[in-house]
Amino acid sequence: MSILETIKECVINGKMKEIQEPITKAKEEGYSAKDILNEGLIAGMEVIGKEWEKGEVFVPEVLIAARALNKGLDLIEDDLVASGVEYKGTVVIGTVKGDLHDIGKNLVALMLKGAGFKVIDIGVDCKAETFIETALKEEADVIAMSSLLTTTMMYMQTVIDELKEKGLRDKFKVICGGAPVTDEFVKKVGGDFYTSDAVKAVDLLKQVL
Amino acid sequence: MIKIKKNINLKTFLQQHDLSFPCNGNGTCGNCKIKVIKGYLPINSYDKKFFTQDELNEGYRLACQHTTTEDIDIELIHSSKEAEIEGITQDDIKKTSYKMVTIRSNEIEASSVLDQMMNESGKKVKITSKLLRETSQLIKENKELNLIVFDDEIIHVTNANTTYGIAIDIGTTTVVISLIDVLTGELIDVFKTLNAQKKYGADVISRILHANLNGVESLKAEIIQDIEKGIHHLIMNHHIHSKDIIKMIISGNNAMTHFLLGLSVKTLGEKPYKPLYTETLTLHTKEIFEKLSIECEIDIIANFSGFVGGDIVSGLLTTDIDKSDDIYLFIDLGTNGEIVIGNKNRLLASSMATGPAFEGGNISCGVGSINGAIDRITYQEGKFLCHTIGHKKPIGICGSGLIDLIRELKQNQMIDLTGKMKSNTKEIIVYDKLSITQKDIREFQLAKSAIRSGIEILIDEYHCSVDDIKTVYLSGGFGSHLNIQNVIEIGILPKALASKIVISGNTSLKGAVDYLLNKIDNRVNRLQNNVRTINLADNIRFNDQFVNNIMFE
Ligand code: B12
Repeated sequence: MSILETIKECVINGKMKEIQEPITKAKEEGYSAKDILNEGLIAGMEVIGKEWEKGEVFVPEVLIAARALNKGLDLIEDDLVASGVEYKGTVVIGTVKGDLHDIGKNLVALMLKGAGFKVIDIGVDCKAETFIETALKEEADVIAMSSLLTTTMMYMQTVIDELKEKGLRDKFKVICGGAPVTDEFVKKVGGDFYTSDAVKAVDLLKQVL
Repeated sequence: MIKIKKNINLKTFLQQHDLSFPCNGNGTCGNCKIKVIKGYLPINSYDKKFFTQDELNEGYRLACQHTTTEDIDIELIHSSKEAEIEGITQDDIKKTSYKMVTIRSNEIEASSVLDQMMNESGKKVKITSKLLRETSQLIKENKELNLIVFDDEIIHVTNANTTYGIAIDIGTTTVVISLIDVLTGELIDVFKTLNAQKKYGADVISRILHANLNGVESLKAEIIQDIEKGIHHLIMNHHIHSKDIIKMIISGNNAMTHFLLGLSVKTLGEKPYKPLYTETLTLHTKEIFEKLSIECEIDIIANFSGFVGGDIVSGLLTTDIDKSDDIYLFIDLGTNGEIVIGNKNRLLASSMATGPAFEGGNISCGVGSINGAIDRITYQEGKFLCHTIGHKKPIGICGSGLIDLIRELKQNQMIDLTGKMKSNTKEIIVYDKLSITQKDIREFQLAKSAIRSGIEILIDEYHCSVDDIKTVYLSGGFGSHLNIQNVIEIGILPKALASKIVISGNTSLKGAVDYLLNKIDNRVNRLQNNVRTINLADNIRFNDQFVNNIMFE
């Protein structure tokens, strides 16, 4: 197995402690941070994503894989910045005001990160200002909103209306999701995209950015 | 058969025909199946997800995502009308504190009758206009006076030999009304119906949303009508005079009692998740049920907090938790599962957002506990043996059946400990066309973990261990069908609790009956003073625990 393959396997199997060794070795062997990212870490998350779509892995396995991914990203972060690697896009993601559910949102954030996006996670119970100010500050491409409650999903409209009011609606793509959210709902409140799960969100954003 | 005109939204329309939409018409749960028997309804992607080509050709569709394009005739596949509803039996009624003292007509003295009533019974008179009217009428007619004494008060005067009370449980899904002879404690009859509010959403949150957007009036009207119909049915069937009904008790969760009273639920559905009131309310029948000719007091049992309502308080009254030194755990398994732990000194309560899986929601072949629902499953020699409610042909799997099924899948290695089906398996056939998919199992895992994690956090926050718990009371709809062994084996409850579980049925109604027959408002006060509600959303350990418990052990 090549060293990049070993890194990929570490992500798939969620081996957080073990991932350090092959990454160090890969660097020594002269692989660039970009190679380690694309052919090791991202490739691993892609496998997890496919398994997730088929229902073969579930929330715990993805979160375990994510731990290894994050450790890997930390280890190559400096090199990545130094080599000026480009993100596929910048996404500001959060759960809307009044809602504290974040497991689904975290999965979306992880999968995006694992696919090479820059992800700024603003947490739960997020006000419209927080979404918008963060998106402006980070020069984001996408605002991603999550809601798990029928009572809080209406807040997505509030955020979108606020964007319109500030004349910023065209500056960002808006993607929404969460169990009670539907395609029709997102269209109705004036968002751009809806996907029913994290992997589909990655595929979609890869296409549109 | 139901005739439907062109351009009609089927969801809105069929809500009036007892078709329920557990996922609120998102097209995800597959419960709103219909069959088109005349005319054509175009096939959409949701239909394709839930039916085979043959079934589509036969006219099967999912109602929720359709608007008719021509006049059609349809049949409902399973109307929730035939639901099995948990009630109460005579064995559940232990004692009554009502007594009768009789003053014969010839013994009535010239002085104040009320004074005489007090002297002979040794009790005070709780004066109401009804009591005065009855007394004066009886004296005029020269009849004997039967004084109905409750606790230390004369609350009613009659010349009938029996007087009745009514205890009502308003559940999110079902409404159960019991008629009781308060003097003997005899259970005369029980009326059960589905809560007609379900057309506005299966779960509490959806109904709260409906109330916030469209006002609470329609929800109020539905529940009042349900109850008025039920009471009317009971008193007609048993030839009871409405004046002989002397007390009513209502137990229900926060949202249900708020709807009944027509109160705003704005603060219940979003932060701060608080009810308008927490004390027991005493009102008069005329203030709520205008159509009933009954005149008496209605007590609506106190709420603890936003998510722990009167139904739980009432349920706790069926245990001795407020008198005990030992620690009890009380669990109400529903779409919103509530848990309370504690003893006479200190109680901790919380609610767990389980989701509708245990009631058949979001499960592809899931149904509620209705006739034809598979409620028990075993796996023998490569085959699933299914038992159904009402011994009907299986039409779906309900909560207890699902628990049995998951246990058998796990036991026979058809799923592994992560919940994964064997590679290349898309679904596992249980009976004929009924099968369980990988997605169903995932949905189940979320629900299971929500309960388990809630229980663990609560025990932890109470600073005790499972070993300190003396008894676990398991209340809620699917009680009597439940196989406790299987509940433990798939990890809904910790193993150490296995031998301590008591299945206790509709505790909300049982508690309400006790409240009707005995003076126990001091117990409610004590419970309220000793309870603290915790919010799992504020608990930093909940997430980790929830993720861990998704797996099987
Ligand atoms: C875990 C849980 C909780 C935990 C949350 C922990 C946490 N930190 O997230 C706790 C206990 C705190 C909680 C609290 C409450 N909950 Co809750 N909860 C659940 C539960 C069991 C699982 C949710 C979950 O994590 N699913 C797993 C993830 C992976 O799925 P997901 O979130 O849907 O995400 C996927 C997709 O939707 C999508 N996605 C998600 N976000 C986004 C965003 C974008 C941009 C995109 C593209 C995609 C996307 O991708 C994800 C992965 O593929 C569900 C019931 C159930 N069985 O589903 C109820 C549920 C969501 N909760 C519910 C309720 C009512 C509540 C409470 C109001 C009441 C209560 N009894 O406590 C409180 C509210 C607290 C608050 N203010 O938010 C209801 C909502 C009902 C409704 N009609 O709105 C549910 C459905 C249960 C029920 N029927 O009663 N809950």
